[in-house]
Amino acid sequence: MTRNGKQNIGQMVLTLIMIAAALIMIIPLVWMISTSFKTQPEVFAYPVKWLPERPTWEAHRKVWLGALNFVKYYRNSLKIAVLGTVGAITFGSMAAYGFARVQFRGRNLLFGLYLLLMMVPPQILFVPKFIMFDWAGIYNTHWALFLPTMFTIIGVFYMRQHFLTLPKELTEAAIIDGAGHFTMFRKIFLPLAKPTIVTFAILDFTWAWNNYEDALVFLIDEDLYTVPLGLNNFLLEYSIDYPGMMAAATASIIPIVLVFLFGQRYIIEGLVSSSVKG
Amino acid sequence: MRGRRSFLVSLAVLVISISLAGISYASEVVYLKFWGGVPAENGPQAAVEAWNAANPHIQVEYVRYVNNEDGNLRVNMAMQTGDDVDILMSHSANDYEQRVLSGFLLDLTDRVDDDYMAANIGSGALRWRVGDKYYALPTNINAIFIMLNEDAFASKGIAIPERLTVSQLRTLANELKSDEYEYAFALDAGNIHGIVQNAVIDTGFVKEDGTSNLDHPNVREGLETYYGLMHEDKVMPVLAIQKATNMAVEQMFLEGKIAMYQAGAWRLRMSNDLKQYPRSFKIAFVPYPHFDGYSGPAHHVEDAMSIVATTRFPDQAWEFIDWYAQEGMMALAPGGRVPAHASAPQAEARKLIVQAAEETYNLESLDRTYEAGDTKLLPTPPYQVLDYINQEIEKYFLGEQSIDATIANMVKFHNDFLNRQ
Amino acid sequence: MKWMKRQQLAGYLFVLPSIIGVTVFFLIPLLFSFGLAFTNWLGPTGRDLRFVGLTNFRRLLFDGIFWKAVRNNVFYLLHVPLSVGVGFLVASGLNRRVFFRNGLRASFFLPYLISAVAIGFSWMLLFHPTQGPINQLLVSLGVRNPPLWLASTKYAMPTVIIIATWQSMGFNMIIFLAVLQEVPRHLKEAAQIDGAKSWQVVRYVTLPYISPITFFLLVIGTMNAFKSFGMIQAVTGGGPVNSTLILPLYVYRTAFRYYEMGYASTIAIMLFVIIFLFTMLQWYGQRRWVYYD
Repeated sequence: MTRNGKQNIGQMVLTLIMIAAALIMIIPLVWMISTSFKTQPEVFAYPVKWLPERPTWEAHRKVWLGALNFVKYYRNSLKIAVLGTVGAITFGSMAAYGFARVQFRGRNLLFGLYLLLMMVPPQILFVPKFIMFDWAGIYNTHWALFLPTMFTIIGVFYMRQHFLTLPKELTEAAIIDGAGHFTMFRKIFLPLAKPTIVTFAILDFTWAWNNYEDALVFLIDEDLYTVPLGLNNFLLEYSIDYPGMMAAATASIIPIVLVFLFGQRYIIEGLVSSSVKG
Repeated sequence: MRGRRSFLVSLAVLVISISLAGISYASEVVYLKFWGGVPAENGPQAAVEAWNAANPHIQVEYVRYVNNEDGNLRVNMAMQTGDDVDILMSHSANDYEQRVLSGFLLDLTDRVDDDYMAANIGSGALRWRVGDKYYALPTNINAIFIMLNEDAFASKGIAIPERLTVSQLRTLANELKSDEYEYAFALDAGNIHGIVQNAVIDTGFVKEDGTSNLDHPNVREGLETYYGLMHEDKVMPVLAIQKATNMAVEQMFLEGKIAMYQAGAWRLRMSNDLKQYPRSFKIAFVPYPHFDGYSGPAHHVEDAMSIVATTRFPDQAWEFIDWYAQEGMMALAPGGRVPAHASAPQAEARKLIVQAAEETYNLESLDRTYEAGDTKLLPTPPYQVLDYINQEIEKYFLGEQSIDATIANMVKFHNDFLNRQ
Repeated sequence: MKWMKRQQLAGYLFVLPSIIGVTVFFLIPLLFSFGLAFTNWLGPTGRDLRFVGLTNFRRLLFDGIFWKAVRNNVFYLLHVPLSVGVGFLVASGLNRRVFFRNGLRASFFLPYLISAVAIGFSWMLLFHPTQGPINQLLVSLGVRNPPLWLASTKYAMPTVIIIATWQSMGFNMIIFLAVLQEVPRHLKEAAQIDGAKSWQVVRYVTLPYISPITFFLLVIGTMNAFKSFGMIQAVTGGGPVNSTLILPLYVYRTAFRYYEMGYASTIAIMLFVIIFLFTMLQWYGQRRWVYYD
């Protein structure tokens, strides 16, 4: 057998193994979507029917046109996630640049504080935040959700790592040209950091979209509900309607899957450049 | 002349402004927000609409919250900020007590006291007494009963019981055991701690000397009985399985797979729905079991309505609550709720709760459970203790720890808790 | 000189917005919480607010549920090395010649982005003790008494660990995949010329080369493991019998079910201390196995 042939067989075997592993990874998702098109008795039929015999939209109709207003939850979640992400990327990339490429007094101390705060469990902060928000009059408004999202610590951390990896010569050449830091940041570093920034935009968006705890504590009016909150209420109300539950869950992940599909080519590049030189 | 004229003018101005003030006073509409855990379509919306039509000056808006941990957390947060709730309906005595202690609810002493409660609500009202005051008016008798599949009794030739002790319940479950039914007896997994509450019904959770009463012999007897039902007789679902599988025992009962199902009036809405849950058997009723020589558990009186401390309109809020408890509640009867207030037409409401499916029930036995005597309010411990009791009895029902260890652990935890207070 | 001054100013301006936000939304609430830990505060109205010194910390020492949550949390940490290990294996596979690389990579990464609330219920049905497909499969393979998974005090935590591994693996995989592409070819080739077998190349060239990243992933994973909440809350709520109760769940329960805010802060601060200790431990441990060039 030729060397090439051997290689091809090896490649096939490896591919098969990897496909099997990948299937295990997506089974919970496939199960969720497939169940959402089933009727209740079909849910636990064995052997598993991955494709329902008579697929029905009933469950999805209940989610989108039923008592719950998923369209409204979507609008609220989008607003919060987009505003939060834009802020997180803007303030985060600026801070990351400052920490990575500018010399100023107290820099390491401040960054050390960030590292320390990375370890803070978010549950500690609920009660004090609640009191502050109430005092500031933003409790039970979307501000209480997207304002904190705008200040990401982990994002600053990763983006700083990325800025550190860029060659020193970039700064030196620009200084000789007489460019200030703001020009350098805008004209040189931001464009170079595009993959990292897109990656964090995707991750921030995902985190904001999936944020259940803050919405739970800081929102009261049903008009303000976000998707995870609506989803959880749905799950509690219809706790034995499996297709309905799965249809609601499916509805809640659609934007994440879309964002991921469009942005995935950046994710690898972005995470790599921000963590390799740890 | 001039003086007279100006007098007339001023008089006219005065008259006009008074009448304008009168008009503006009349058109001063008070808006109240009323929060409750009952789904709007089960009656509250209809009640509120009826009120609003009859009282243009006090307009009420119903806001529904989900009555679970998250939902109640949200309610407490809302009351903390204060401006969004005027009337609140509490559903659990624990949450209610938290709210009273936090100063969220108005003291109703001027309107409701022990005499009022004795005359209009009955002993169940004690559940809503904090210190020696009331901060809420309960509106609903949430009857508790065991639903019986009459066919299961007929095929074994057993008469429908009128009252049961805990040990009689076990005997009965074993007599009903048959291949036709998956289980002879089941209850909602979330209510398993009811055994312990029932065990100390006459003596309370705390002894007179201030220590835990969880070592009362009834606690042991009750737990051992249910353990026997699950593991020895195998006539009742094992708790862990029931919980983990989210076993829908209420559906299984209506499908004819369970002979006796311990629940309450809140399940009538399901059993009335013959389209969704068709069945061929009739349902009879019997009160919850009691320990031999002790009282039986009283029906819950709940959906307790309070005036929120921060409201600007306490009088209007009370006007509404008073009406809701007596008349408004009738809109909720088709949804399974019977008014708790004596001056409301309770008998009429009791007919409405089984409306459209009357002939599928043994109504005589239903009336009997509503009028059961010798009952007392089930005592409720604080959440910390309740959670711990649940944890320990769950371990026991899993077979992971002995009854002695279970009781010893509960007593120790409870005593530590009492010492901290 | 002037440049230096301008540099100083620019530095502050760049970090200022972020510092303000972090101070308001993280630092101040954190300090506030520290203060609460020494009180018996019972709720937002501030009724009975009393300074109680170290009482809460003393209570913690004898709080069986707290220690159980600590033990559970440490057990739960097991998913971190698992997820890093599996992530490495998958990345190694994808780093070779393989068909459909992009599609495969996407399927491995996607679970990382899916919310725990949404996917938790899917897992609950898969692991359903009597009717779930996993146990039906086991039964049809001849297993007489398959585990009850989330329903059993013995298997609930292992099940949760499986789910956590599944969810966090994708992130580790992506990072490894990137670093593996950077392992210098000449190092590997040199080893091969010296007669090293392929596992030896991995052991003596690849693993040391990527060790800083492995370390980084372990640290981040550990921090997250001590903070995670949503998934366990969704699939078990801490049960059965507290067998999956981890510290963040206990903090939440104490604060928002029992309204013992002061004591909840005390637990939360202990949680912070534990995270800090684990990070330090890893930091000092790294010298033994992490290679920097």
